[in-house]
Amino acid sequence: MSDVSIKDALDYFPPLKDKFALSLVSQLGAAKEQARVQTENQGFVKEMFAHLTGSARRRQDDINTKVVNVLEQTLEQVTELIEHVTFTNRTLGLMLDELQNLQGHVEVIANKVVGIEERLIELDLQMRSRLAKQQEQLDEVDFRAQALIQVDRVINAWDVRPKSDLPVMIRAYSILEELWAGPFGYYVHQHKGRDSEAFLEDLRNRLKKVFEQELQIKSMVRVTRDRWFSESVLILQKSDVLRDAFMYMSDWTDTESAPFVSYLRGESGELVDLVVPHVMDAQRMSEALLDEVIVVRRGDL
Amino acid sequence: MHTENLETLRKEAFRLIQLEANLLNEIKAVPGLLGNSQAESSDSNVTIREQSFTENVLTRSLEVLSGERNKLEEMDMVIAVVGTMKAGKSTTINAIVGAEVLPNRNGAMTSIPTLIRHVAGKKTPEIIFTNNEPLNALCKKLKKAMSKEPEKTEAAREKSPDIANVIEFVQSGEAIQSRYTGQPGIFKLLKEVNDIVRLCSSLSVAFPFSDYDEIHELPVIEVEFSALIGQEKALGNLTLLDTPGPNEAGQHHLKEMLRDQLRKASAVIAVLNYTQLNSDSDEELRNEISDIASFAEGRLYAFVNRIDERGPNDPDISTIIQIVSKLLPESLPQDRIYPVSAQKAFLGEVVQKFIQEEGQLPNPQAHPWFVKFAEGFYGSRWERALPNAEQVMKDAREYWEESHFSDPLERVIHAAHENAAYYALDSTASKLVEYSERISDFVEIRSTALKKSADELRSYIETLKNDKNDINQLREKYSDKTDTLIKKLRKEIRQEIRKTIKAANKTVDTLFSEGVTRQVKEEQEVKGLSAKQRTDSADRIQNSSFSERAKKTFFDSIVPKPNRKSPRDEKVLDIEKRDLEFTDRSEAVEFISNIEKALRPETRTLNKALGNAFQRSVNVFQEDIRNEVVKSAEESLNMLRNRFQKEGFSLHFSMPSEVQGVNLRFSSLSMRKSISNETKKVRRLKEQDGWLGSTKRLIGKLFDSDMGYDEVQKEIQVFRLSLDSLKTNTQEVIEEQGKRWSDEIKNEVEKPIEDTLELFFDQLQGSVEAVREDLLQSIRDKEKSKSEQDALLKGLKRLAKHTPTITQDSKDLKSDAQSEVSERMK
Repeated sequence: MSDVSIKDALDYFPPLKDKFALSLVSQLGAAKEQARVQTENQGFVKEMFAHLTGSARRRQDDINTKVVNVLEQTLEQVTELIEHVTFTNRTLGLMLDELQNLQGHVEVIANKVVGIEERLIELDLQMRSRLAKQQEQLDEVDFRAQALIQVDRVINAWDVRPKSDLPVMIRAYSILEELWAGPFGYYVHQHKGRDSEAFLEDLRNRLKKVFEQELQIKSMVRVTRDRWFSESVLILQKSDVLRDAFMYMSDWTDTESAPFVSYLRGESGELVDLVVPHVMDAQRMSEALLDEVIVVRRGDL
Repeated sequence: MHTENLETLRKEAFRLIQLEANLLNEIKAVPGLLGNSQAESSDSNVTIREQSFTENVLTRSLEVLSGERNKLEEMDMVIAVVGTMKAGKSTTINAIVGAEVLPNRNGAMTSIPTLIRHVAGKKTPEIIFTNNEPLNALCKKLKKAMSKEPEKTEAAREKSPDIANVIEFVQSGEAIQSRYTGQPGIFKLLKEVNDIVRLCSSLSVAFPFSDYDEIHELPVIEVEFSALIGQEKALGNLTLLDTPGPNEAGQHHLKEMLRDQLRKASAVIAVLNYTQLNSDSDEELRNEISDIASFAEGRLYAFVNRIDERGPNDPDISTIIQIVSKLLPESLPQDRIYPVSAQKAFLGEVVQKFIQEEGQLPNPQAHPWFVKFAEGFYGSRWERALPNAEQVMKDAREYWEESHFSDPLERVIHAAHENAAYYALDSTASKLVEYSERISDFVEIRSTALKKSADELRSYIETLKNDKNDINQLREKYSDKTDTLIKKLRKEIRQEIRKTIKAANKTVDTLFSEGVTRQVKEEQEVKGLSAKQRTDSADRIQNSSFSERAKKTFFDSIVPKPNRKSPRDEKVLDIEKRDLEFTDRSEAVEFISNIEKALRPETRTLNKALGNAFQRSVNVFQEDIRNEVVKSAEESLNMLRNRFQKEGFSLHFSMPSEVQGVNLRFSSLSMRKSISNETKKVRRLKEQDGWLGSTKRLIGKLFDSDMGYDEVQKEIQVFRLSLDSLKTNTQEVIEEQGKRWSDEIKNEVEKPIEDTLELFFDQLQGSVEAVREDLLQSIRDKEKSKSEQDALLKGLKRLAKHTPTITQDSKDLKSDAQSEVSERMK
């Protein structure tokens, strides 16, 4: 596990590129933020950028060019990914939101990048056009069915490579992120109600079952916190790329709203230690993870 | 795995305690959430009594949680040690402690139980007796009694040097201190307390047992236990309870406390004497162990002591375990029976400890235990064979290993620790569930109620009246049902008693008539024999060897032949009389004790029948009535819950605790009061003086007449037994046993059932009452400003976030702890 490549990381966490695309767009809003990301997450983000864009490493000091390239690259990625319904539905909407946000802050960027204003307007138009086109296609799609298909696909992939390489907690986190980023997440976010609750309940049960199979425990049998987490924590310590990918993917968390994921991130402060039980069964774990990765993020808790 | 599991569950309990304490503190911090007790609502029709949470309730709840945390941290565990003085109970305790903290003496030493507590690092033992005042007051009382009754005092003084010493002590006016350091001080205090109890009995002054019927009122010896040196603190605080057992004579006053302690004890060690396994006294102990096993289920261990006294032809250890297993209740498996030598363990340990601490051999003059060890290990010429300290250390280790003490000690302490921990966890988890559900309901009611109108809330409050009425009706219904159950049980007991009296009378009739027949036959034989022959016959009876006696029939053995010390001086010729007369009290006592033995099968049958009836009733309550009560209450609560659920409230209600059932046994029968002590005039023949007298007697002998004798009347002391008095006494004894059963039923069935139902329905009504009061407080919430209501709602939402998972985790913890507890009960 120590020789995890960027490609592997992207396989383990498919929504990484969505997150990356989104964060690139949002980074445009603040040069400071871009600088922070470039310095703090330099290694992994740069490598992922290079992997996604296929381009060679950029010069450090060429921020203007880079930003423009990023925009172009992001647009290229979006163009490429837009063909996938599950992706564009959520990501495109969110990216467009970000882009609209950018319009208000364009002066800041314009000072740094010559001609960015025009390019942004162009990008905005392109994205609107693409989104409108995609929306037409999306309207015809049965989101509910897509959500169901996605759950089946993701859960069935639980014990299939590359997911099966991951220890139980990282794997569970990965599939939940994938679901959140896909049609399942879109559906339960946009259509709150009984049906959506039934979807979540079904997912809880299925997650509980795969947990029980994975840990070879019977229903309602509680196992220690260590048994749940230790292997995942150890692997994250050993593999830099996997850790970076996971940390990047889960950087939305805070200890109060997502103590279980925070614990996995190694943020074992007093609050986290108090909220994560020392012993729990598969039911309890599936409920906690689902709440953190999906329910809290859709604004329910 | 268990230990790892245990530590995880403990950590989980600490986590939940902290989370609940945080929640309770957060409740305090939410503005306007806490109502005041007895606060008046502006609504003139309602008065707020006690809501789910007020300042007082919060403070109490936080104290309870803090207490639970302390219990888990301290992990107090008590190992009760039960046994007779001859079994080596004190030596067993000394062996566990690794120091002579309890004296070994021939008399009973446990008039009031003593606690022996492990305190890490405390090398010199110390006895702490903070509750010394009642004893000092008693000494003053005794002093007065002695001055008033000098004759009684003198008689008591003559009984034994120990009593004489304690009389001196009392007369000196010296007070019993609250603390004594070192072994001599401990022995002094324990001896004084025990001798004072005996002195009280001699002077007919009541001992204040009621002042010593709580565990915290007992004297405590604090010392470091050798077995625990170097053990981690997580193992808990170990305390040994030195107890004579609940049924031992003279301990009736303390019986309840001892039973209670045996129920609560983390483990119970019953010390049996290997050399007396088949004796009567040991049978009593075995019966007692059966008693103990019933309320210390799964926590009882038997140490068969003095195994080192096993002879070369005695069975091996595993056979001994099998034999003992058959003598003890089935609930005590073979792997909890340990043949040990407490003496070897104690001596081996104490010698090693001394050499380790002092680096030299103990001085035999100052330490008699060293002489015992040396004699035991090196033989009577030990002084010549004694090696250097290093070798003695090794030998002492070997001696300790020979005691077979190591494994049982480790297992009992380990088991006690786990038992204590799981019981503590169970109790903590119950509290956690109770509080989290209460917090959850409280938050739920108050936040949901904020969305309702005051009129709606009033209508909900109105409907709760019906729920209270329903609960009252249920209370009455089940109170009647349990009354009927108890009445039925009492009736069964009366019937069984009558049946037993009938059977016992039959046995007494048979034995008595056997006795009379034998005595009359004896008299006839005596009459038919010459004086010389009579003397021989009497001597022969007196001097018969054990083996000859062993050949006697059953009735021969239970009906001793009257001992006529001077048969030729006395003639008892009334064959028809129905009384048995003994000139020696011990003969009468022996006859009675044989009757008592013969009645044992009847009393055992009675005991079994009553035990079954008792258990049946407990089962009916536990399995039928209790379930019915819970079911009915659950139905009522479900209706309430559903009604409130429809209105948007989601509430919990918890069900109450259980009733413990126990098996009872009789203490031994005592019918000695059947013996009446009286004087009677007897006709005696006195030889006439001179040659004429001798001649007359010679002729009289030829014609079987009293010629040559003068008839004289003489008053002698006789010990009489009449069939009527025996039967009356039998009946009284059995009825007395029935009364004891009746008392036990009151204490062990009736009262716990009543208390349980009372508590159950009180809690139930309390829950409904709390809902009502919370709704009333919600009406006050509605009177607040919009911003105040918003702030309240925000606070409630924050509280609501963690309550479901805390409740769930607490329930899971309770379930884990309970399954571990039940596992231990198997």
